[in-house]
Amino acid sequence: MDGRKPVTPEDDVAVPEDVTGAESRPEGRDERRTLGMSRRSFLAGAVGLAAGAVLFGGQHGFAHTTYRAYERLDNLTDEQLVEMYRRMLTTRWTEVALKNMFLAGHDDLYRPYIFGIGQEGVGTGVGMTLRNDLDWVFATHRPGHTFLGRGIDPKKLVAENFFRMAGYTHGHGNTMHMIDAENHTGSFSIVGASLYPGAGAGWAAKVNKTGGVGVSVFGDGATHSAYLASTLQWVSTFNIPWIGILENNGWGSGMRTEQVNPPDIESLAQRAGGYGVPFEVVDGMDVLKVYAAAKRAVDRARAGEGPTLIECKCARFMAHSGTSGIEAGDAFVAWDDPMRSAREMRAWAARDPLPKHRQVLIGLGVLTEEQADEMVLAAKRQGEEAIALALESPHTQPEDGMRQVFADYVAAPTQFIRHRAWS
Amino acid sequence: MAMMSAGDAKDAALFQEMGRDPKIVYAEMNSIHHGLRDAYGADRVLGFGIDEMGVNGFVHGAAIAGNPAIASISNMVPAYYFTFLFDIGSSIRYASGGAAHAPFTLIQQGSSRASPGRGANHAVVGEEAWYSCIPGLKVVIPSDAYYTKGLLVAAIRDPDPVMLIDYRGQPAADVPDDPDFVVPIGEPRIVKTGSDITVLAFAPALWEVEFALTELEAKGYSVEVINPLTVHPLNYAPIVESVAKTGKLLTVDHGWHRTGACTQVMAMVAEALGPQATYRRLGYPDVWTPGAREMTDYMTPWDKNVVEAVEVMLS
Repeated sequence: MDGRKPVTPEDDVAVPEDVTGAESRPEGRDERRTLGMSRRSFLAGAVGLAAGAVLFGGQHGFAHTTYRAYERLDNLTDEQLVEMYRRMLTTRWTEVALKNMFLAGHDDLYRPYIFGIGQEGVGTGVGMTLRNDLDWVFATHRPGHTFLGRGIDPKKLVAENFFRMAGYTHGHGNTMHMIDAENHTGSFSIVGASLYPGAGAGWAAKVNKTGGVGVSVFGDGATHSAYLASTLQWVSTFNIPWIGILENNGWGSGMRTEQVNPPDIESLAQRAGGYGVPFEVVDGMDVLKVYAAAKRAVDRARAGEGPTLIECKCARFMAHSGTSGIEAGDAFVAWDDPMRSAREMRAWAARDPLPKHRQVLIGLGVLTEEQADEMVLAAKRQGEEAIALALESPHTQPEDGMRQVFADYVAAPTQFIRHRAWS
Repeated sequence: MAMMSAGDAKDAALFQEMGRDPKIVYAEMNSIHHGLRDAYGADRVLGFGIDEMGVNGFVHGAAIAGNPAIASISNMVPAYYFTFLFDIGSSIRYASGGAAHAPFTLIQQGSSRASPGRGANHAVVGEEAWYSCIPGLKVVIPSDAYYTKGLLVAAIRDPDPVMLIDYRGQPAADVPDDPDFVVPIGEPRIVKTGSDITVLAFAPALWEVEFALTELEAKGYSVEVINPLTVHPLNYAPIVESVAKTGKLLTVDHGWHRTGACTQVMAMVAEALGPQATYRRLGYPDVWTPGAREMTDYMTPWDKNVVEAVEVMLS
């Protein structure tokens, strides 16, 4: 598979900007008609609009990606399509529940959570292609949509926010340091730290002949990293079953991606081509497109055909970290984001992966509106339950922090005068 | 038992352990270990180019994913290893609350200051002090082929990261044939018992201390020599006991005097014994290694420096 001509999100329009109103539309509100059309014909029309843009735009690669994405629908069962929606709903409403707790304030929420709302399409699209019992995924400091996109129960992640025993790290780390050993998913706080572990996991899978893959999720802010250059060099040279998921959300913390990259490059992913690593650029706001690209990459890797880099163009709907500019309640878009205008937020909110996928499910007759609404309510309940369970979980013991430096080792309490460190 | 060089002892450990556990993987930089590759296949034995970060990162990654990993790395550009060790390798067990760990061993092919002309970046000694500052990383320094095999097997079997500093010039020694021969990490070795003074050193300074011993014994001094072997985590109690007996501690370090690995040992002993003993350190001065031979000869704490130091302390 050669490097594909990259796609820019502005070309890949499925929803014209003026379709949705100025405010976020929470799931569950009745919206049967869009632009006066039924959802089924709207979906067909959206695809037609995209095709029209192709004809006028002359970018063949774009149509290829769009149609191949929807071709994948034939290979996906109804259960899988619904499961995609369920995972994205869990991600969305667990994080909304957390958002509301942070806004309300709680003594144990002394470290801001780094929300992945808006990036659910990437987390779930990738997660649906993988085996939780086999394939390692290393996430970023923004771990929620990656963990929950693999169908992992949100309880431990939520409890981690409160530094309770029910959290992944039992107070030793935080939500940027979680490792779910059973589901082969981990997160790191350092930019680009997922690259070597994902590649090393791919190496291990190759040695162990399990057919497993290693996945590194990293952001656009990690593309300048020496870790990426080195990883690409060696996954290519050694033919490692590795998939790089480059979540390009336009921002490296406080800097726009364009400010910190060379002008006139077509994509961030294209640098992979320089190392002989096939790459794709996809619309990260469409779970089916992410799934299609990730499935291609996973199938290649499992067949021993080597690594792939997939750039997913997406947006986070909240600030880099914390709850700046967002309201309490069902709101999941920070209209008063400190770095971006409300207009920019509106444009991205219009491409929310959840209503988009909901439209597909209903248009295909896989779900009714009522069933979809029920799933939304279930996800909301799940998020609230996770919060309640976290609050019931005990706090850590202060002395617990003296352990886990090494196996079978307790550090000497050198902070007290009464210790004897030499014995 | 078999007499072997330190290089052969290292290979013996690698072949043995990779044969014992088919998950163990190995990587080198700037070369390929053809013997291991012929024995265990190209998938398990990688040769990276001159990418210190890459070889270090991949070994980290394989270990975190569950395959114990070993890398032979260079003594130069320690920061390329230190970065990921500091950020991830040394902290992953702790920060994950024990959910994950990183069973890898880095074998740093050390230089020494003994071969002149290498200059600052190539003649680096004393990095063990750096590495041992990080919680979660074990640091060991073998002093001959026996300890090379014993500590390397211990390191490979250790569930946590170990930096093994393999200084150039290690003497050959008799090595046990038993495949389960290990030297436990953390126990200091009393090389020689004595009563007048305790002299403590890691390799390569230890070899200068051993040379100095001949002259010192001829002059009638009774010197107790300790080789800690482990920089961290170290059992200090036998060292404290020794100095409690002799009343004098001299440490000799080919690393830098300022914050070298012996500094921590001395601080521990001084905390325990205070005015019961006297304490001095010899170490490389606060300068980089120069190129010219006259300069490196002048700066290194040789055996004659050790003899002089003992004589001064016991006068």
